Amino acid sequence: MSRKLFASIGYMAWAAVFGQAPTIPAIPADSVVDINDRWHNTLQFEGWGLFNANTVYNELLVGLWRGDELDRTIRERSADALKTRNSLGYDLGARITWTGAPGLFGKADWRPMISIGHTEQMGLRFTEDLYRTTFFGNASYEDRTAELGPSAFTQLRYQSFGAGIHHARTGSFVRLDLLIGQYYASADIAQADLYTGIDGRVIRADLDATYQLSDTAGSEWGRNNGAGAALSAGWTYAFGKDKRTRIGLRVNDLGFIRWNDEAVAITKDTLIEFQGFEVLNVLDLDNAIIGEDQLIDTLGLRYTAGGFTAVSPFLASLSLEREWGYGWHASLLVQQRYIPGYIPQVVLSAAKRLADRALLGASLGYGGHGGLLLGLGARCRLGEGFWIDLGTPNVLGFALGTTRGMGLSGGLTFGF
Amino acid sequence: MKNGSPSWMVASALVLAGLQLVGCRKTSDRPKWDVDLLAPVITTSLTINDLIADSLVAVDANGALSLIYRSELFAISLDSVLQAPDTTFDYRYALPFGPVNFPPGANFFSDQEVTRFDLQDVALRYLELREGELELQLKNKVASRIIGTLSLPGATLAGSPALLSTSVEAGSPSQPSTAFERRSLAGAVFDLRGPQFNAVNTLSTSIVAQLDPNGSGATVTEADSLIALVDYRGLVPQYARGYFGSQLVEVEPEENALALFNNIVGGTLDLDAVNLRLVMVSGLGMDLQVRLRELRAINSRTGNEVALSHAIMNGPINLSRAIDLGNGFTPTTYQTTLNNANSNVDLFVENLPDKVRYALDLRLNPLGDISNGNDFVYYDSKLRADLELEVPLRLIANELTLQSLVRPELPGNAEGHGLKEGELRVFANNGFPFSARLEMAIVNAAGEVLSTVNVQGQIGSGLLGSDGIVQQSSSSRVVAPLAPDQVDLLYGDNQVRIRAVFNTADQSQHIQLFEHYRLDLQVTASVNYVVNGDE
Repeated sequence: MSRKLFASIGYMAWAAVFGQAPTIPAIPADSVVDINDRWHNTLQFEGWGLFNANTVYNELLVGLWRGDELDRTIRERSADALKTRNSLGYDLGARITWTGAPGLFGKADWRPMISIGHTEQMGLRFTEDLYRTTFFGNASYEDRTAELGPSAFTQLRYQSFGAGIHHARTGSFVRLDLLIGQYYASADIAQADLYTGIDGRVIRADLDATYQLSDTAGSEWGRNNGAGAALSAGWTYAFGKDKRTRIGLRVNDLGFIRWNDEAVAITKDTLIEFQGFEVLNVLDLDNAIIGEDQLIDTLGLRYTAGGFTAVSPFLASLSLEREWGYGWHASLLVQQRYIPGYIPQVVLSAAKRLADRALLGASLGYGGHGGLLLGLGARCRLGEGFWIDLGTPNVLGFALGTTRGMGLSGGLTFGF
Repeated sequence: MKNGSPSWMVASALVLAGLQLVGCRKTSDRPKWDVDLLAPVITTSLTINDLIADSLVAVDANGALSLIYRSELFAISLDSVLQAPDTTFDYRYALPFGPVNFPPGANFFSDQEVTRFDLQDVALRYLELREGELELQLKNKVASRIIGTLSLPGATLAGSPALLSTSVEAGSPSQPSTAFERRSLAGAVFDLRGPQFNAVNTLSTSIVAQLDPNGSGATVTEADSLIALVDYRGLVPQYARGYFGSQLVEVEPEENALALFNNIVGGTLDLDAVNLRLVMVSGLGMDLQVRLRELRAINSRTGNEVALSHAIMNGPINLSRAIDLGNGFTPTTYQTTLNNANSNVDLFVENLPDKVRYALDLRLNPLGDISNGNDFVYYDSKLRADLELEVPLRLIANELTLQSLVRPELPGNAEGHGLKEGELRVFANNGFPFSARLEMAIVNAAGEVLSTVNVQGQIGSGLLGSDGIVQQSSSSRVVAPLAPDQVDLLYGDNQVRIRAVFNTADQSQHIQLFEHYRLDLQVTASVNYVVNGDE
């Protein structure tokens, strides 16, 4: 595994599990380790970098990430694993959250909260034919139709600047964020049947698709190509005789971004047939320049400019958590993200307090962009007001190229 | 607006997964993998008008095609029969004795001269100039400022009397002073009959030198003198009349390029009939006699030369004089037609010449001065000979080879290109009555073959009926594989040389080409391409 990969993921791995990040496994709040009630202020640094796939192996995605030359064996190994549903995605982010002392607006349990975050996400679902034409070309589809759809893709990058309130006793919170977007790309391919004629004499595409792209002039850090707003909120309810069982509902970044008027889009519901560029004089091929522009014109794939509004890729979750005696915790989490290729993810987690300063957890999850994953996580309090979290949703991902999914989440929390 | 990626949805949604995943990385780190692509590249239809320019093709009522081609054989222009050389006349004045005291304003020197131009055999009586310059130069050794005036009584400059005046400061024998005055002769008219109107090439000239009227006069000794130089330079006649003599203008062998068969690099062409018209047009106002000494078709590629054999090569061609309209002329024309029956013109053309060599003698006024000195030329006058070729496209082609060079526009560059290897597949639906065998080679800038493409198959001929007309098109498939090293060569400073070798379907009889014949072509490519390999 390359050092670059570790560095890319690891630079965000400093945050508290108790924050807003979708960390897996969930290391629950623990009054002994966290000493939650003692602190008037907490400052949390969270970071996570996760990618997941249900069919494509890590070796392929890592090769793509590193810019390797992908030999045919690697591509074929993932091709052989393709199923009816194929998806992959990634979630990179970092967040800083300050939570103030209770007593906001005269309410004893409410605490003010200010949070700044950076988010990059991508989700994709694709057909087997789309994978094969992409990584092996269309030659093997001679006199056949490659069904490239239904497939969908979304990738975006934005920052959020928000303020809210947090309930000290239950953990419920609500936060309203201003979103500043740099990049958005989305393809929704309802149908894309690509027929390759014998000897390649015709390419015929039955296409029903939409593609949107934010301002193509640039998407670098600090650029404002779109703005919007999002709501994040969590509600937790404790029940049972001992109130040690809690149910929680939560939504992160439910909102929208209006991408500016320099954004571009194209919608095609058409049948495209291509038999080659028409050349008026075959004896004068020097003038028959076959370039990108000519291809775009021939196929009618010119963008139109104009702003559009896109829903942010929010995450909704439902959790059930129980704290047993002897420092044991167990939880069941079901979550869904609004992004292509994502299916409801179910995660069963368990955690055990070790002495008074550490929690060690493990999880078994299924869904999201991937399949079955075994995760590990830990929290350790160093001193009185400082604790560190670290976790991964797939422990095997770092060890074997022929697994799927990889990630690291973590953070630092200061209580004062 | 320009799209960011050409392979937008269909081919790239999965690249999205990978490439977008790495989208934040620098481009040099883009992953690479090879794909096998199969796609159409070009489609085209070829008619005879694509092989030969519309302007060179004639169609009769039945749709039968003929080739019409015109080319200038030679042109003999004004300067071949009339040359006006630069000429300088000098006029000197000195006292035979002295000293003599001249008062201010005295006409120190006055001379009436006739100036005769040396035009060799040409005897001009009238001349209008299109270009030229007249210069008066005075060199003064007299101790007074002198005003010199040149007048040409027989000439007008721009409609006014021809007068040129300048002054020269005082000088001395040891230190003469000089002065110049120049005037354009464009539009000047000269009566060259002299003062008595009975001469030729002769111009009346008057020079007067006056001591400065505002000076103090001068005492002139025998050592003092005044020299006036009159210089005619760069004379270009607009119109000239006179007798141009019985000159013999010999045109030594010269070669003219013939572009008609430039693309043909091999094989033979057997034409059923050839008509070649030789058209001579004379704008010269004198009788002419042209004797063609040589007219030869040269094929530089084969080294073959065919000398034209026809009656015109044996005897002179006489052209009567053009008619002078006063402000222009009506040319006279001579025309003769050469065909298979009266010449070897079919062999002349079938040699597929790229050059024609000619040599001739041109005799002016072979009968002498029968116009009584009224020959004329205009600036535009010339003797011009054109060849007008008319060839019914009824032919037998045997391994007739056309060649073109193509520099393909390929993605990437020599250092990095995604295109690795593949093959081009040509699909033809041929309605022409000849087959075509394609030959491809990669050649360098000097035309040397670097690699030969092993083209498999050939384009079959359309199927002929008993009347020699194509009844049905034929379909063919031709494959041209390109190995990796050949693809690499395409990224150098090289070109693809494509040769098409044609053979008519029936080699025993001439086959007529018709306007409706066409060849439909489609080229597809099956290539191995490395994604991001162009970077």
